[in-house]
Amino acid sequence: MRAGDHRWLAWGALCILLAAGLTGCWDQRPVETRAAVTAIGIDPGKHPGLYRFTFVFPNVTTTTTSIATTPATQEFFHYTVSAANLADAFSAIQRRQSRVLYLGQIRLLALSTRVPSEVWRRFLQTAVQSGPMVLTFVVVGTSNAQSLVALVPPSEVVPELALYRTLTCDCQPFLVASRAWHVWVQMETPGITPIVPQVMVHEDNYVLRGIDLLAPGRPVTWPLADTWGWAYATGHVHEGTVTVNERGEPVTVGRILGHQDLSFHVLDGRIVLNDHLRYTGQLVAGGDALGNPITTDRTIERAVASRLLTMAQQAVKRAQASGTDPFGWHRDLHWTDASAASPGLSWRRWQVRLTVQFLLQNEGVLR
Amino acid sequence: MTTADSRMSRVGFVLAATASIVAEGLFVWPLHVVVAAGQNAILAVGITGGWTVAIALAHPAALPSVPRLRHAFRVLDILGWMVLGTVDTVMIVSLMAMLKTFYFFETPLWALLLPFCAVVGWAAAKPRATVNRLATFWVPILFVGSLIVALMAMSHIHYPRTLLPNQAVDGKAVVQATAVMAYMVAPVGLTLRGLATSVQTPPTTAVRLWGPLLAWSFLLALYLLVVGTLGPNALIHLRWPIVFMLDQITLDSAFFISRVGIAVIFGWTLGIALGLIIHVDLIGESAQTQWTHPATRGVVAGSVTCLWFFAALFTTTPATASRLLLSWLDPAAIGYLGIEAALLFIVAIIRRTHTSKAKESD
Repeated sequence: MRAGDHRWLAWGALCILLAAGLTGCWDQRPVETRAAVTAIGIDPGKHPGLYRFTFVFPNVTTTTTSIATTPATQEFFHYTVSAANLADAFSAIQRRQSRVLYLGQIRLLALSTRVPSEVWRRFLQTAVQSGPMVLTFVVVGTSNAQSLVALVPPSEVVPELALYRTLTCDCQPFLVASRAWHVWVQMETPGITPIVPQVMVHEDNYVLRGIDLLAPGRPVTWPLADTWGWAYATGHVHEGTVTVNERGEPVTVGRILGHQDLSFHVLDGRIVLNDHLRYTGQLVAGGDALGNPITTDRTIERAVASRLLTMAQQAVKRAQASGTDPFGWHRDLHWTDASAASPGLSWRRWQVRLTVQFLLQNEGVLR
Repeated sequence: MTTADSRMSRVGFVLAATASIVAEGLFVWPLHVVVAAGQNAILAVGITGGWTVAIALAHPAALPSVPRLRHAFRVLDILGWMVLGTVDTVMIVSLMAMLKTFYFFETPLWALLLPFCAVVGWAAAKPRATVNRLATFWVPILFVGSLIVALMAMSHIHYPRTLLPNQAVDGKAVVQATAVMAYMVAPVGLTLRGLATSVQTPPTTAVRLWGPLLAWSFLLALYLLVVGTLGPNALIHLRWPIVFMLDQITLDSAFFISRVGIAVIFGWTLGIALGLIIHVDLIGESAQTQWTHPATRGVVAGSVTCLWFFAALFTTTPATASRLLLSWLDPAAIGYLGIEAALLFIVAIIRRTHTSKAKESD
């Protein structure tokens, strides 16, 4: 063996030794020694400044026999602790656990609407700053967070998975961006009142009820009608349905889809917002007995456009009355012309002009 | 003296220049510029891109053989590498802190730093042909990999409005933001001069231009992606905006691969290492012209990486490192760039008189 060979051997050994340090083995823990949190619920506590945190865990089985023998009701369990902030809650939970808390698998964060908006912001900020938490989980508002996170809906075995899929499937009639990072971005951006989906427990299932606005102070819940108005005014409708009465006959238009065109003008110190909504839809039911399809279609289009406009206008009125902006128009103005925008949310100088254009399309095989 | 073996190919020249420039800012990009100018940072990015191209254009294929000028450039290079070497330390600190925050929670810092510095030192001590090979092989792979992930991330661009400058432009903020990026402009001239000494044929203007252009189009694409996704207001609350953004790309249904961004982040670690290898190689090469001893490259590579290792080990937090970057290194980089501009101006005058004399003699 030549001297050069020894040198290569030494180098090779050193490289392997150094690379071994990078394998992540310092963090290595078998799954049965980890307690992966799948959902967190936060409710107000008994004393001001304290909150009740509910953590949901899957019951990690250690042997093959225990997989078969664990009853369905014990496959998931939850702990509730009282703490002032998320970090304290983690440490309080860890003190009740023999397994290491793992935060990389969270899928649902449910917050009670009785928790102040500022506290919502603080919790999400903690999540952003902590590296292990990946902010792809969904954030929802509810009246009782503990019962929501512990709920096992009939459609799924895993409690939070159904709700997570409901909100990320792109199959809901209106779209609310509910991923944590998106909600956090809205919280940190001035000129928009952040919105999260409002989810309620109903019998043994959950139901998507509308939106919660994280207004200054406390979150405000919007009813479904205004949520639709918000969705139409901002182009967040994925598959809308509207029924109008045309000459006494109900006509249903479905698969409503569209977008908004926004433009701002500043006239004599007034901010004029033109929000032009373009929507298309399909005739789903009715309208056959109304005679000439060409003229009937135009009448239906006008009726639907007027209905969408009314809904959007009502949502705008509600926002203006409460001094909130779930549409993000103050933000958009700030991003278009910062000199025209005022700090904070104020509708005083605003004039909102909504126009709706609706077209019937792709009517299918029936007509 | 260069042998045929230790020369750089033209492609190697372009790709090495790209890696050297991109490595200087990747992990904190575009945080500092957006903090300084908000939405109008795009203007500063445009100006800086133009600045970079101007430096590339102002560099001649070979420096005029005026001894005093060559000496001045040598002094300038030493100054430049002192600034850039410290900026590199800041980048290493930021990279290691990022890896520890997001992926290697329990791994001690030295265990991350040691192999990283060892690989950089080892590759940089090799002859220049190795650097050439590394750049030609890895830079295209990293580029294409990043491009694929960027395409996946494009669906997250929710705020295209913020990609255009605001109607209300604060000129002072834009100038400030441009000045903040001085540390990313500094490597352009240093890299082009350093690499030109051993390229097979003297680099043409196009060859010199390609490296900075590729680097800045990459940085611009990342800027558009990150700002369009997070908006300029939320972005400034993050320490590693790109990493945060890439972390949010989830493919829930695709075989449990939920964090696609990880792949590109590990790729970029390699990219940063490559950039640093090129920097150490350039320092070694310029030392070799001074001391012709064959061991010079190895000694320089060893000492620079050792210095980086200990500096990064004892820099307490990435926040300290960014403060160092903004309050000390940026002014130093601006000073360096000022001297560089003056010298390039003199070079231009000499070349003009030289060509007019040549014409007269015709």
